[in-house]
Amino acid sequence: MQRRSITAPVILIFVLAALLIASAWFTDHYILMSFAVLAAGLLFMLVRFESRKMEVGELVIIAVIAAIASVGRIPFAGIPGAQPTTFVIIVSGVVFGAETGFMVGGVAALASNMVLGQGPWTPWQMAVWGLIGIISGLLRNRRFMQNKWGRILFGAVCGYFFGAIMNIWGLYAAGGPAGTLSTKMVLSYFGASLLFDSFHAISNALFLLVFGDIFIKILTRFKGKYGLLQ
Amino acid sequence: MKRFHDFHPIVTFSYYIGALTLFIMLLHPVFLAAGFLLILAIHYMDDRCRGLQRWFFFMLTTGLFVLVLNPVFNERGMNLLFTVGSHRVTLEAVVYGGMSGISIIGIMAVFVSYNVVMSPNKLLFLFAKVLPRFAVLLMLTLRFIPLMRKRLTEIGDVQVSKGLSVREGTLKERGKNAMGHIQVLLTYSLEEALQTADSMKARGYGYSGRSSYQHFVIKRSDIAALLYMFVLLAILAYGRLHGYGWLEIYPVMEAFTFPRKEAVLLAAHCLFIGFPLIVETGEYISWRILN
Repeated sequence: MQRRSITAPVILIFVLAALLIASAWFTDHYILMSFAVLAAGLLFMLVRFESRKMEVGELVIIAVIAAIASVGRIPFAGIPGAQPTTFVIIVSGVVFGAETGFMVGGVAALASNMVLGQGPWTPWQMAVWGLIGIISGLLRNRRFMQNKWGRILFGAVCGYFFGAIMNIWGLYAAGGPAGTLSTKMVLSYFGASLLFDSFHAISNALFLLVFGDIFIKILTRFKGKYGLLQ
Repeated sequence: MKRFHDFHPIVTFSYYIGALTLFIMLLHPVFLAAGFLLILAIHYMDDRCRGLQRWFFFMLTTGLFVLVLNPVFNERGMNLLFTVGSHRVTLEAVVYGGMSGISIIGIMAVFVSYNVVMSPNKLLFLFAKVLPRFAVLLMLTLRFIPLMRKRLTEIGDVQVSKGLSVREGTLKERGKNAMGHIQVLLTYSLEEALQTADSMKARGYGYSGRSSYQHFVIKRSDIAALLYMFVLLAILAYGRLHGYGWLEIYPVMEAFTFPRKEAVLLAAHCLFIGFPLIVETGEYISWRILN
């Protein structure tokens, strides 16, 4: 792995600090501030991806995996929660590492929304699926991620994680900054989404239980055979 | 809406970003209502609101949900409307809920129009300028999505001839067969992907110094449109920083007056949101005169 320049992380830290200070000033605009934070984080990862040395084959493989993740999402669009997208992202994070996991998650969200329809939720989905990819990539060498049941548990947790992040955007859209976001409201909003998040968690666990091992085996074999995305 | 579609992607993209920001920033009943009506008019002009119909139910429920949510959870405010049991329903909460509701519905309506006008092609063009590799990745993914669907039916046909169907048999058998399908799709696509990569390499992907065909060219009208939007946004930002175009609700709800300066700002707001309408009407008139 080549050494990375530290310019981008330093700029990211400065931007986030500036946003933090600005948010103390403009207390009225939760949703605008949250979009700015999302944009900073996503751009940081994308610039990192641009500056990385990469084979064409690696690029195409990320696209294939992201396409499989998106295709899985489209027939399930009507059923909230149940979709194999999160599962594919977790598996690619586990096999190929954090950065590839992020790219699969982010691109799958953006591309599938180009088919299903973009909305204010697109950057949030990009961020949360990207994060799931990053986290599964970072944890891949831990003992519980080497274990099938550990991965299944992780998948279930990811279902709730996804729901929690998406709830934040819903809350910012619904309740404003002017004192409307009470603890009671936050709790009932999360309570209302609990059922759908449980569907998502269960479907993740099921996919990891049934498809998990074979997917990881195929991807690992492929990675070794062609020496890509090491 | 031929003319608005024909602008350079940077113009249409800036318009949608600007319109979204206005719907988020200018929380004032009059501004929101005017903006929303203009967006509806744009949808009507574009395709007689057909694109909007698909999202109608979702938008309505979200808007009502947001409208109701505020008075239910927020008891703050001095102008008491009525009480339900010991729960206070205040005018502030209702107005605030209504404004958030229209704001979120307006944002969705802007996105529906965005989905019609900004084809993936245009967005990719913009991405390719700033993030070329990401644009290629996105383009490949978009191309693979229909390809995967086609392959999945092909695989299904072959598997049926082997007696492995996902439609018949017990649940366990069907699940097992479906798993086989996906597995085949994965290995098949990964192997094919390397061929795609080789062919990309053979055509010289990644070599510097190669120029490419530009489908979108910036014309004089595009620059004029950008300037028009920039000036209006500058006026709006100036007004907003001085407290216009914003109904103060907490701590104390401001009296509902409409000073002249606010009217100027409203005009700028309408001119910005209604930009596609202005372009279309102008084109319509000049067409009539020329004939």
